[in-house]
Amino acid sequence: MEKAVIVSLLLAVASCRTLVILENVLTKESHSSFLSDLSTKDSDIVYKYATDSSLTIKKYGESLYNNIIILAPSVAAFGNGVTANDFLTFLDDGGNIVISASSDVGEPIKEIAAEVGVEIDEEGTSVIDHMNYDVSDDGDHDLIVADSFTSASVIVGESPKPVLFQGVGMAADLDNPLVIDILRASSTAYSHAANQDILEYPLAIGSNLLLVAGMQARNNARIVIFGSHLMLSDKFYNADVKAQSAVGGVQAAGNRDFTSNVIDWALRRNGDLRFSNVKHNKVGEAPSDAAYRITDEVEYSIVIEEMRNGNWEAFQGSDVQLEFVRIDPFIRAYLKPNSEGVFKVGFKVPDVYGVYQFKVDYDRIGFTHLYSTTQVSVRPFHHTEYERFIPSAYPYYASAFSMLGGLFVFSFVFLYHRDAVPESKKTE
Amino acid sequence: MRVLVTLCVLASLACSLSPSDREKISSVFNGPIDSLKSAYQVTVARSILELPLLESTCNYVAGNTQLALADLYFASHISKIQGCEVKIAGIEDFLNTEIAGEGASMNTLFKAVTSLSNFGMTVDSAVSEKIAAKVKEEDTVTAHSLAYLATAVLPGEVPKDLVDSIEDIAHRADTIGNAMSFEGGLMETSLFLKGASVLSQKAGKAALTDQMTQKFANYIVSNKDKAGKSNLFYTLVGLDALSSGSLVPTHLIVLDNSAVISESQRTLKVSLVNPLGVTVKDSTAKIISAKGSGGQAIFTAGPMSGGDGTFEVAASELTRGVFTAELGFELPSGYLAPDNSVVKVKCVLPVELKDATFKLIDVDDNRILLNNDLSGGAVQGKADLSTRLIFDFSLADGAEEVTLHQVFVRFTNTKTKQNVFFIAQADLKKKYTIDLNFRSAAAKSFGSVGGQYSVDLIVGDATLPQAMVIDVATLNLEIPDSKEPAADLSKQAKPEITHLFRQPEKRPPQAISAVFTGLVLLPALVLLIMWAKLGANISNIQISLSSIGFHGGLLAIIAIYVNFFLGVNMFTTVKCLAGVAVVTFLCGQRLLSSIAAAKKAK
Repeated sequence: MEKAVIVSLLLAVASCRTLVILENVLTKESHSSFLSDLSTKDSDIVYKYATDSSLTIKKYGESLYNNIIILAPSVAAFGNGVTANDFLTFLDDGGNIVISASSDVGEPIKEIAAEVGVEIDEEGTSVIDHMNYDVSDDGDHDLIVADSFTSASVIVGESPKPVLFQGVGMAADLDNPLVIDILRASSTAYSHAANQDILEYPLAIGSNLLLVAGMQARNNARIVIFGSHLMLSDKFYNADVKAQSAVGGVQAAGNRDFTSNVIDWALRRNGDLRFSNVKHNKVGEAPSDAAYRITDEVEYSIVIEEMRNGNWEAFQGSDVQLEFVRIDPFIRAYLKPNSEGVFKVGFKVPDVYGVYQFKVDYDRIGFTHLYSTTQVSVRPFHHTEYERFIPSAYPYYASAFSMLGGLFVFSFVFLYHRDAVPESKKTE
Repeated sequence: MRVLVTLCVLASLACSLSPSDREKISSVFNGPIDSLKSAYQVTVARSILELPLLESTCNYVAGNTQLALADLYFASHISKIQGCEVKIAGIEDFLNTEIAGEGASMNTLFKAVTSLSNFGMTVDSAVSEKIAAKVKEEDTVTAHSLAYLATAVLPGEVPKDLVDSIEDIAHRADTIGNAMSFEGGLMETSLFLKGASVLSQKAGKAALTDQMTQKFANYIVSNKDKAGKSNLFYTLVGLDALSSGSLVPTHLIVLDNSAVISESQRTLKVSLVNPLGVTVKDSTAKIISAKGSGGQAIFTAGPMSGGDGTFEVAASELTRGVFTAELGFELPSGYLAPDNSVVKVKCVLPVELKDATFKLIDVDDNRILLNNDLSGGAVQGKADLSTRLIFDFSLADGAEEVTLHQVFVRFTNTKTKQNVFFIAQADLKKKYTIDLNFRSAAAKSFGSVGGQYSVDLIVGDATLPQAMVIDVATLNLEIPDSKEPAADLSKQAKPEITHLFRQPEKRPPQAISAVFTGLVLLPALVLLIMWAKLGANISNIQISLSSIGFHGGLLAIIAIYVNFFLGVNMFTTVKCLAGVAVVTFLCGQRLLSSIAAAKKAK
């Protein structure tokens, strides 16, 4: 009994642990709001310095943490021989990673980013935008106001406010479809060292330049790379922004809300989907294992839940589709949710028999991949299930029955007829 | 006493409170007062910022102070600063008992001693030995800081070893980059600085090196953007300690307007302030030199106008670029001028597009399709794979041609909004050229997406007052086999599919089948009519078992057939038929033979 309690306690402890890797003592001070926000999201946070000789992320083949937040942009080598590869293995094992980079970005950070399809620009470069720099910029026009957020509100929240950014630019690997451009630069921005002439084409220009990049791997593990370490700092959290070219007054920077939302997403407190209770039946009947007949009216329902701020809640997406598939989809229809997250749709089984699947394949930016298939067979009509008494066949019915009736009457006339004319008898 | 003036300008590191910082922080210390601690913080912060004190504080203190050490500590500070009276009997006895207590911690000793001193009551000088012993026992940074603060208010000589310990304790701080702090963070560091400041002031001896002070200052100032009353309070306490002039006070220079000068703002403004943002009185400043990287000057050397810490000078000549201005200061006696008083000054000037030619050439026959100097605004053009685009221009501020950091030509597809950028390179004569052969660029840069493109020239630089986006042309790019970029549909809802059911075969209308039903029934009717005409009859009918059996059987067979048609399957039908058929056959045999016999008998 005691053992069981201990084991369950251990499991509870292991259920969500976050490792925060700090660049140095000052990071804790300069990013105190970020870290205090983080502590409201996860109760079990372990702080380590990047060069800490006891830095370990895996022990006895098990990841020690669920999430790793690396606030050490310029680290040249992690302590205890931890390499970029260890972090990638951690990602492969399903862990989530958040990284902050900066203009003096270190090699391990670049390496991790490159492996997940995000190329971080050379050390010493920064994102420069001579149009949209903040009014408090100190001369290089690299303190920029960014507002080209991804349209996926599950990552950045509803209508995020412009954020302050100062740091390094990134470009997505075009061959990697999993990269999500969470925050893009404006079309007048570019990435280069401010004090060097531009002789070659920069890493990226305009909206190809990523300021915050994310990736959701195929195992649903997530990684977010902030190009700006300062973006998460108290200084930027409490700053006012106004793009130099914008009209109107200053407004509070959206950094805190934006970061908080992105971290929620990265730590899988938002945008996780799960399904349960898949049901299908003939309209008006209880679910059964029997095959459906072609042209039956059937109903399908599935319960989908969404992780929202760390709690499972009824999902309310309006674009969930059900496919009825026999090699190719025969029917694709939108499922309509009710307030409890029960998604339902009814349709008529196609008039082609065979083995079908009910398939819900919901893959949207920012959400984990939801995939459910249920196999059913569809049989043709029994011979008794065809139409009877076709009006067009009435002539046939009539001729057959008149024939039978005629035979019956004829049998009497044929057998019992007596000729009324006696002369004919004489002749005979 | 040596006094240092350091300079930190325009760096990412702020070194003092700017007016907007002071405003922001002041707004935090406006109240509300809901505890003695908050009353204490508001009062101390407002006195540091030299703001009028809140009148309601005294009433709050009078009504809420109990005879407890923590309460008395806060109340004593407020009473000292604001002159409130705390009318509680036996304060002196109570505090002295606290001090005399056996297990009195450093914290208790500190609070009791400072409270007694704040209330103007006498403190037993023997306390200093007790403090010295306690410090040795606890030996933490905070204990030392409290000991400094407590000792500073005690009468008599300051123990030498306590003053000497300041530097030792400072060595316990961690240095990161150009900042220095204790492990305990802001509160611990601020308390230490405050303690070190008041003790060294009393001892009349600077206890920290210039370098250390500067590093501590960097750390404290970096906390000014933190949220939370407590953080800001300790930031202010730390800055106050650094500004009080006893720690080798750090006087700093900040520049207004981010040190940008332009045609509309030709003056450079410099402020000489302490870390709290208060200007240094009785000082003068002069320009020693102000040179750009090319050696050109924008300020004439000489004194700057203004005084009391704020100075300004107008630029003699505006030249675009970043300049380093070396400043010299004359400070009141006791202040030490900074070694390196160099500030970065940026002069911004607008540029304009000059000598632009926008040419489209057919490479096959060297025919010039378009040649425009863009004086009339954006041009319209058509291009295909055999077209070459040559766009020459130069950028000039006034008469002189310049090169800038960002000179890009942006093609924007008007339909897909896709951007394609080209970098314009300047030659030695500072002439920019874009030379674009669409045969090679079509696939490589444009991804074989044809259509209408708007061509803009983006000119940006840190030394421009305003970046420019110049609309150059609208180009209709004809690319054979132009393919629209396929939108990624994998993460979107797919189009709905409804199954197309096989349509039932077309049937004739019911009226036709009714007519034909009538038609097929007609022969039976004709038969009956004909029979009637011919005089058919059944006069020979004989009622016998065999005739009833035969006709009954026949009827039964017909009935079985009808039943078969309506629903019974063949097996049931055959089973029933077998029985009925035998009876009918036998009866029919009998009937027919009887009829035949009757006919023969006639």
